[in-house]
Amino acid sequence: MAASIKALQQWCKIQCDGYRDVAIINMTTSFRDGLAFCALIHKHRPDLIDFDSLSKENVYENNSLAFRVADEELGIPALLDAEDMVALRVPDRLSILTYVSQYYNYFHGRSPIGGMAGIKRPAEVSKEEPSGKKNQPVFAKKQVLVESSNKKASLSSTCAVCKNHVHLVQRHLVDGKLYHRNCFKCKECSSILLSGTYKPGPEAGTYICSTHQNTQNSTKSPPFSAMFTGGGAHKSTPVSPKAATVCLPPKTESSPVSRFPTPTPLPVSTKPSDTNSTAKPWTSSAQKTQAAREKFFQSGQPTAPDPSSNRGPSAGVTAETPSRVTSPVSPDDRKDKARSFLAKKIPLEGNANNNNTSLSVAGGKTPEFQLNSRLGNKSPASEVPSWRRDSPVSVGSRPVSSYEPSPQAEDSSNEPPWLKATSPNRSSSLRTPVKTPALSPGAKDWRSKLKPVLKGASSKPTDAKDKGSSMSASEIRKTDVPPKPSPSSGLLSPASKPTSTSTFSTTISIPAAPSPDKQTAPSPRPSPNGPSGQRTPGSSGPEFCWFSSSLSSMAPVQQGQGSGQVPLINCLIQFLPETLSIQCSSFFQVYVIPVGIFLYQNLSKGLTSIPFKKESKGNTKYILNTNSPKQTVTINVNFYKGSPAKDVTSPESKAQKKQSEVSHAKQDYIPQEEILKELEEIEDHLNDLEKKGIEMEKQLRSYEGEEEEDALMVEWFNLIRTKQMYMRRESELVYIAKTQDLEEQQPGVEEELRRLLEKPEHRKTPADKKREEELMNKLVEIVNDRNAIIDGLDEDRLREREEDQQLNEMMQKFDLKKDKGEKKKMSPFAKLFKKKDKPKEIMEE
Amino acid sequence: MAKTYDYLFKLLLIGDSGVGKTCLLFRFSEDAFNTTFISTIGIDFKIRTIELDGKKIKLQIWDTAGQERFRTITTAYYRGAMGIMLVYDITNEKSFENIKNWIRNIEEHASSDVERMILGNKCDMNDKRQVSKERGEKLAIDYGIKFLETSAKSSINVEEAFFTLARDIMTRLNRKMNDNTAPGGGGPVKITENRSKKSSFFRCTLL
Repeated sequence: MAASIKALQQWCKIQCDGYRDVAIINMTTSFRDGLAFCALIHKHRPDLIDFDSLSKENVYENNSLAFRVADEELGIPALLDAEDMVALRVPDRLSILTYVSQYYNYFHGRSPIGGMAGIKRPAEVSKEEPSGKKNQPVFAKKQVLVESSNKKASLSSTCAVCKNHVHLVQRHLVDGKLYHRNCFKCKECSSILLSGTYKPGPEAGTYICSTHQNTQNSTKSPPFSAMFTGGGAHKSTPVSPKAATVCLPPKTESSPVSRFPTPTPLPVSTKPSDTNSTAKPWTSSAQKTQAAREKFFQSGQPTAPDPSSNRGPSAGVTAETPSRVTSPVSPDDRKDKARSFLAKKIPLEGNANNNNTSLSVAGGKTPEFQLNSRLGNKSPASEVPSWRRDSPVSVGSRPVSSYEPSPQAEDSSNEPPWLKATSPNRSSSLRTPVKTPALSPGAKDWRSKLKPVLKGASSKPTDAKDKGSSMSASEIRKTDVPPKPSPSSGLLSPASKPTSTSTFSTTISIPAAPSPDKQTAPSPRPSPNGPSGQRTPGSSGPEFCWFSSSLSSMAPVQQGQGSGQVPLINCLIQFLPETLSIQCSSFFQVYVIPVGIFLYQNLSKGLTSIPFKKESKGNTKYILNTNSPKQTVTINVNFYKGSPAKDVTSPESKAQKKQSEVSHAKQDYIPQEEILKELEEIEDHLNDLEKKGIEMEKQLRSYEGEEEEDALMVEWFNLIRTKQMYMRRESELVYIAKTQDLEEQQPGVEEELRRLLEKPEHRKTPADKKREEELMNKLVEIVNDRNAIIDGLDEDRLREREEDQQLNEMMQKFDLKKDKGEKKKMSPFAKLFKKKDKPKEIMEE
Repeated sequence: MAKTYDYLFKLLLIGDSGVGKTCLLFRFSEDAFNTTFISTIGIDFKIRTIELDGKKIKLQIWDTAGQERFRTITTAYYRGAMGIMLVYDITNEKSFENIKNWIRNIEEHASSDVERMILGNKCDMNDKRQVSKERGEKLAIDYGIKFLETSAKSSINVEEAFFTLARDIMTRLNRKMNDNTAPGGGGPVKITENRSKKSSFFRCTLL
């Protein structure tokens, strides 16, 4: 079994033959002074190392040089530490074997295991390490890693954060420091940093999500993540927040926006971001400010967070593996983690998920979109964010007049970025249901688990009306939401229209501290460019709003409700401390953002109080947490005529209708909740695998040279393979989420841009022209980002193909060697050979 | 994870404004048709995965704006395309005449070995026809590329067009790969390796 190790050693010997002061007689001390590594590199790439200038005395420098060059130029992450090479008289054999095998793979015509040659893939490191580790067992099969076990303590295997020992499967090297994957967290929001999604933090040695900005807003923690958290638990149809905004948010707001950590999958580790934030939980906060409904009308021009932030992580990520879930803490933490996890991954299509290409802006600009689209959307089936409803007024309700103003936040700059984000320039744009472009149906098992997406819900009644009014401010966006037919019905066809619904959405701002302002009437601000709005500062009393709407039944309804009826729904919504009280004359569902709470109440009439209390994962009730001093939450309430449908689709405007027509069931649109949920599951699996991996590593080390090792090795390979699978799936899901989000953004931007383009030149104000340019750039950016995802997926696919090949070959070699070994024992020559060899082996050991 | 596709092909649709590029794409990707004319802004793409000879081909089809004002944006995407559809409107003589300009555009901005195809769209509107099928075919022959008359509205030849283009790309790809399988890939090193191993083995045995 040592044959493969011998083969590797032999290869090293041959490669280093002739190099001064390099003699490969073992896989430990021969490599200590670093010259061997340099020789290996120089042999194939003399341009990278000036070997003649090296001296064997400079142990640290030589090793350092080799590791850095291999990392930067060859894409081979450093598994070893130069300091360790200095400190240990006999370096860790296992590590050297693993590392050298990477050189072998690279120079021997293949890319390093787990990565494309020369292309740094931070996310790959995790694959590389496990692959590397599986290499070790093969190579080290017969070796007794005495030194390594002894040196485990002295080897840099201590996490820089928690100071505990780091097992092989958990290794995460960043900038020369070792971490547990789970310990490598963002300083600000404490969510696990995935490769390619972080950048150096304000203090040396710290890192933050690339979506965080080092601005004052950084104190606002990732409540955004809160948004996504809830998602996973909800299967019902969340109402999309009506966050269409019209006016351009000042650039400054971009910081908060960009701060918005890309939505993390719910499943993500659970770290109480809440605790980090200074804001008090909403529930505990006595004050809530009722955000102006105009929130929807505020156009949040998310300014892209500086693209370099997206690059940062990739630059910094050389040898790190995507962090996995940390120890589960609490459901809240999980959510937060998930959110930030996803959030981080999402914007960095280029960077994230095994792909280092930076995306333009991706990270910063889109969070808000993401957030919005993510949350806003829907019900698993619904795609259209309700905010899009252009013509709330046209529905026949009296939004403004019947609406009793509630205090509104006035200071938009204090809004959490993501909130602003919720109303990006979507004034009228409709987010059409997103179809998952990149996935071909039927390829995956999990797809079958998804509820069929009911796309293209009936053309929305509101479409016809008042397209133009999308721009006009209206405080209440009401959308006629034809609830989707039950998910199991599969295709959503116009013929099978559910009962129509109406959606009301409001945003409230919850300041941490009491604000002197009292409730003020919200004043709708129609503006030619779309609704604008503001929020009044928090008040100490309960917020409430009165809402009256009518249900449009223009769409054919299943229950045979005739068209043309316009029933009126009266509803009083009160936001009390820790309770959302709704008195309504119709069935309704409530979806709360950012927490992602979906509170579904099946009431016909009367008053219901929905407590916001945190329950375990899987339950639909969550505490409205605000980690920031002031946070805005959007409450979407869907009202249903008749029995509430399980899924709700928001009505779409004409433009969106086109899109919704496009999104058929054949498109694999994965609702956000599903994605988050699945990501969570994957994280759980990976956690388990990591635990097993640790166990296995211990066993393997103790079983060196024994028979049990073989069986264990096979198990190890399988574990690695499974882990790879999960990680790939995870990155794919993140891609999907990001794609869907971008696609949701696109129509909105396009709509507005189109309007501007159609304007006669002489009537365009300079602001118009500027806006036009911005939008055009934004549009191109969105398209480019989507493209980057496609490319990233493709690269991953190719890389994964390679990895699988290598893994298979490894296993084959493993089996082959087993057989060979046995055969050798048979033949006398072999015996002779073996006998001759043994002394050498013993020497090595 | 199971691979969801085997190949990724990037296609591009170019042609005058209003010839029906977006509708062709819409028909191909969503099997739908929108009578309203909404001019494409800048650029966009849609994805559809097809199966060709047992392989799954993911088609990323880029839809360009025909309007002149977006020309700078759209030309940037020529280079990445593996296959380009040149579309004209059979009821619009000018759009047909401009095909040669579009071809020149391709030569200028696209890669040299890009696969091309000419489509005469709106073939359902025979009563308004201004370009005969023969003229279209002739033009295509002149350039040595394939030709089809299509109708996004009536869903005529749309699938065929894209499948054909994809197949052509596949053929070209296969040809390239076959050319590349010249001997001497990674062999020598390995052989050396084995030989050295074997020789030492042999030596040992002899001893």
